[in-house]
Amino acid sequence: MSIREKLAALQRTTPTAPSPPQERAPLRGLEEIGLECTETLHGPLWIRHKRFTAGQILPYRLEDFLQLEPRQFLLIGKNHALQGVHPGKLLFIDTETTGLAGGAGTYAFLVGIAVCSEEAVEVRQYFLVDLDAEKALYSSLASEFGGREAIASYNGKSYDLPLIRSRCVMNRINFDGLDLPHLDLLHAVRRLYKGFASYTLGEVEGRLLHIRREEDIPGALIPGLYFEAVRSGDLTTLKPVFQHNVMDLLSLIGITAAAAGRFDAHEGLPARDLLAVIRTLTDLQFYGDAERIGCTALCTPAEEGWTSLARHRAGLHKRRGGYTEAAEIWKEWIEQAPDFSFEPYEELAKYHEHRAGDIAAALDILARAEGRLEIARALHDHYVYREWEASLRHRKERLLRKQQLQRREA
Amino acid sequence: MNLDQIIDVLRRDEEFLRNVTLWKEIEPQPARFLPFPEALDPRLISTLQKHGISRLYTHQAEAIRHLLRGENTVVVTPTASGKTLCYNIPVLDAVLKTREARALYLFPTKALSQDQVAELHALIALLGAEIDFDIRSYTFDGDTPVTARKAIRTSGHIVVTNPDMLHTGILPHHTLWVKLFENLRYIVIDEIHNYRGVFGSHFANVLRRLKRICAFYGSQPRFICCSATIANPGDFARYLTGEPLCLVDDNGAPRGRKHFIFYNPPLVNRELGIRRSCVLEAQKVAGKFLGHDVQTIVFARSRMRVEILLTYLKEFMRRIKKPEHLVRGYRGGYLPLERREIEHGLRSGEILGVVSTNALELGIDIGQLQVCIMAGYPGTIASAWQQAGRAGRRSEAALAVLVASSSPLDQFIIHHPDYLFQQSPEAGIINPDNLIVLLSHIKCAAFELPFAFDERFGSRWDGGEGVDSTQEILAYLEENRVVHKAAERWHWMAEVYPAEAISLRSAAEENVVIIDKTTPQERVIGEIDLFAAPLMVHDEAIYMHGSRQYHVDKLDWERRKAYVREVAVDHYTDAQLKSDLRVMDILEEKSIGSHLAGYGEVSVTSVATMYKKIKFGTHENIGWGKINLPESTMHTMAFWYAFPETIHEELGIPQQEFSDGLKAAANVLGHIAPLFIMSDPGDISVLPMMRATLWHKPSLFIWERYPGGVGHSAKLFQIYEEVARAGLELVQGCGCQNGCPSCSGPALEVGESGKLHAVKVLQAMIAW
Repeated sequence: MSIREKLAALQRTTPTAPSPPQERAPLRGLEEIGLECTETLHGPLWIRHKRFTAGQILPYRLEDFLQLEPRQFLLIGKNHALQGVHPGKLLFIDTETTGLAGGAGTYAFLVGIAVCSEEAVEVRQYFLVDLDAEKALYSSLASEFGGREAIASYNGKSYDLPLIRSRCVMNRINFDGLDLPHLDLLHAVRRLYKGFASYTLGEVEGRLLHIRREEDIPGALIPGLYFEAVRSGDLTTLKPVFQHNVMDLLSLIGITAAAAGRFDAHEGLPARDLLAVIRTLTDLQFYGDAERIGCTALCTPAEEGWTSLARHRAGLHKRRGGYTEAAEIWKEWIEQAPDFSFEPYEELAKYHEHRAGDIAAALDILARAEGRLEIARALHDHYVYREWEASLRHRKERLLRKQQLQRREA
Repeated sequence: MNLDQIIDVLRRDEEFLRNVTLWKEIEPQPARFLPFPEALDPRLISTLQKHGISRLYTHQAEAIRHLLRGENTVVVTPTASGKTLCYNIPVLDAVLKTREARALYLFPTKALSQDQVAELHALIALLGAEIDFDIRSYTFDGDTPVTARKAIRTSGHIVVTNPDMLHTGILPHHTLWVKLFENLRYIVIDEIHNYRGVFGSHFANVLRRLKRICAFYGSQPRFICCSATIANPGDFARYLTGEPLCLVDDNGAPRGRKHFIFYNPPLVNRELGIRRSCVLEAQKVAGKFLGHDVQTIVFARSRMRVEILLTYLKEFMRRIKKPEHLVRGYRGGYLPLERREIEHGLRSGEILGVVSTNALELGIDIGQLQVCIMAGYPGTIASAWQQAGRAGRRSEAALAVLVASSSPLDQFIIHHPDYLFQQSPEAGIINPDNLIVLLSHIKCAAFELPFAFDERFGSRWDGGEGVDSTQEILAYLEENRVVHKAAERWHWMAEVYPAEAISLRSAAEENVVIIDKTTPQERVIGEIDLFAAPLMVHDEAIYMHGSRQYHVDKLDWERRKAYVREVAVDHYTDAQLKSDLRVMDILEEKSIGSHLAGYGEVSVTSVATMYKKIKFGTHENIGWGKINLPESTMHTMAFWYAFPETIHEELGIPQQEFSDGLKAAANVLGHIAPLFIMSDPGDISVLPMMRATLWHKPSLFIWERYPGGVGHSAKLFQIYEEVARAGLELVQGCGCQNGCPSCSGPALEVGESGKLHAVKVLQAMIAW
């Protein structure tokens, strides 16, 4: 029995008829796609070059990207290593792969990179014409990284780059460029734009660049198309995949410019997005900028996120010793907030007691809190109200004792 | 009373002695030492010396010497003989000499690995004073937090894991483990006798993949294997690792005096060969020791038996006015924290008695107890010794009692102690080249690294051997569109992650799920393999699960589901199976006069036709029904023995009774064969055929219940005479009149003369 028959018997299926040995068909569709062959030390390599001049199909103004200042990459990426990166030295990268499962059996069959200059966006797409051709691909790709200052991608930190790293290990190729500072735009967009239903690149470019792709190929079909093309030698069906990859790269450039805008044009932003901007600035220790933006933000109190914004801003002042400024924010919080929260009352009471040394004022605040709390409890007996009540009573008794003591001394 | 005094009392206890079939005293053995091999790092030697280890037991020194010479080594170690030093010393020595050196430890279970790691950590902590860098050892398994994984991959000197994690979590991601694979010096495989049958066949292929990846990264690690005593440790380790190994089996550790008692509970039904429950008897025996504060471990064969025994023993403690919490249960399903607490209590002596499944048979550290009682033969001789080894301190006497159940194998062992005390007949058997298993792992291997056009999967470090059909299988995978033949190599080309779909431990590819509908809340209570389902869970069957009875309302064959409901009835069902076996390919065959023995590929077709309702106790037939299910076919391996057509005349058996004799002999062989091939009784089936297809002669078949077989048939072909001889001893040694379930089967099944005829048939297999 042949292996085929035995396996069929063991698996209780009918044996497949042996397919005649196939001669490898000559490659078709190379020209139609626009692939050009380069000879390398490790064999032939197929690359597709594309150049998009400003104004040509780009859904944004290329200048917006090129005019970004080095500091802005640091802000978008929330990463000091990105300080000083020049727009023209940023390398955009996006891969198409043979599956999402991960592991050593997943290949990147198309690696697209894009760089920008004054006139145009240069896109180069490295194509794996067969699975044996990785050595040529990655050793040439490595040289693309020379002279670059940083990498930009969409989810490349956990997907594209580890995959490339793994492929290089498999092919024994040294690829130091992979360690350049990395601006992962998925992380940036998640950080700066709250409340999207999803953060797929399609969704994000729709929201940020206001474009909808027509006739884009669904990602789930891509591996199958590639397998078919490799088996048949007919690459023409891959044309939409190359197109998809180009669109991804072009979008990344626009998204970078749009995200940078968040730090300039923040007026009219929803409170939770403003908070995201302020948090980023705080985390990077740009406290001045954080406060400048925070100041203008407290104007639409009913909005979701307003309370967090107030808390964050007040906390910021408090940490840096700006108690008076913080007290102003707590007062405003009390005035504006529709729901009762003990937090601003408590903070204000502490401020009056410890900073302003005004026990009467502190007691006055607590009395107001007591009134609000009574109403709140009447409406809805939440356990947290009971906790607040206990802590309010405790604080009040302590203040009264302290007041008596002061009077006696006086 | 201390143990010696209790032993004196028992020696005069007539009631006890009436059930004792053997009382063997094993003489104490002094320790034998050798100095540390000089090639060892002096820092390691001085650390060990500072902490009381001034020299090594002979087997430790011998193993270490082999390893320092770069030879793969398998150490056969009884319980508590200091086996961990056999691997920890060479591994730490390698790290001390080359800071980059790495080792991989593989343990069959998680609980076991935790204990071995604790011991390793202690040794590393002691070494800390001597060296200026940290030796890091980590456990990497399903519980390892994602945040810790990166550090383990890059900086763990010793990575402790299990076969399943290696298979699904490490090998398919080998590019993340470059540091480990480039510098791998040792692969430690503990308890290798556990890797037999289907699990072992899978594991051998995981090791083939591991070696392939090591070769890619330029390392050639040595194997250090540890095994309990089996008949073929050296060969078995070689099958598993695919490399030649040096065998170290001369144990130099000391041993105190040990009493080994075989205890056979009295017969309650001579005709059916039923004896008093071994659980009840074990409880009675345990009481004799617990009552005098002698630390005792009781092993039971199932989780449920553990619970029953525990209940009895707690009652016993209450009766004798002792705190019942001095006796604890221990089994899988207990929480890890609780287990740790029990282990600690046993070490410190706070816990007096423990009832356990075989979970405590492995090297989990509970110290050494004084008495071990086995409620039933644990299934293999290796297990029996490991369990008995739980009792035995170096200076004091220890005692082990094997309480036999009524099952044929228990009865055989208890009447033939030589199998336990002389040369163990148990051979570890695997078949790494089982086509289904092999195909699974060639897929995984292709995913991990492309295959060269001249590559043979599973070849030795020196390039020898390897699977002949590697390229043919790859071509088959190409046709199935998961690999792709490029210019130079075969590449994985599919979206799936093959290791995920392949379980190392479960045999059947497809199971029938058993769903309990007693309460509105349906729940799954078990699974049964597709081949056995028509017998066990046909419509209207009474299915036994644990101690409960369930009525099968419906077997949904298409969806592979059986719906059951709990009931309490006075009968069970017995389905009749009509089987047919066709020999597809003869792999080896020999004539013995006019007799024929052989093994090869077979196709077994079975169809369940009807079932009988049998009343408990009286075994009356109280009804029957038809079963309407499609027949199922399995392509597997079988051993056979064919007699000449005239055999009944030669043996003086009336022609019409010969089929009974053949059936009875087959029953006996089915009972006894697992003793030689270390299998579960359910791993093989016997089939007597009066006119076997192909040669039209009366024949006995023993076929394997895993598609493609895992090597049992080939082994049986080699040793069938020994098996038949043991079978003969089983029948002749059984006290029953006309056959019973413990030997040739009850007369109801094999006729009044079945037992008599079985003896003749078995003798005929040996006579030549």
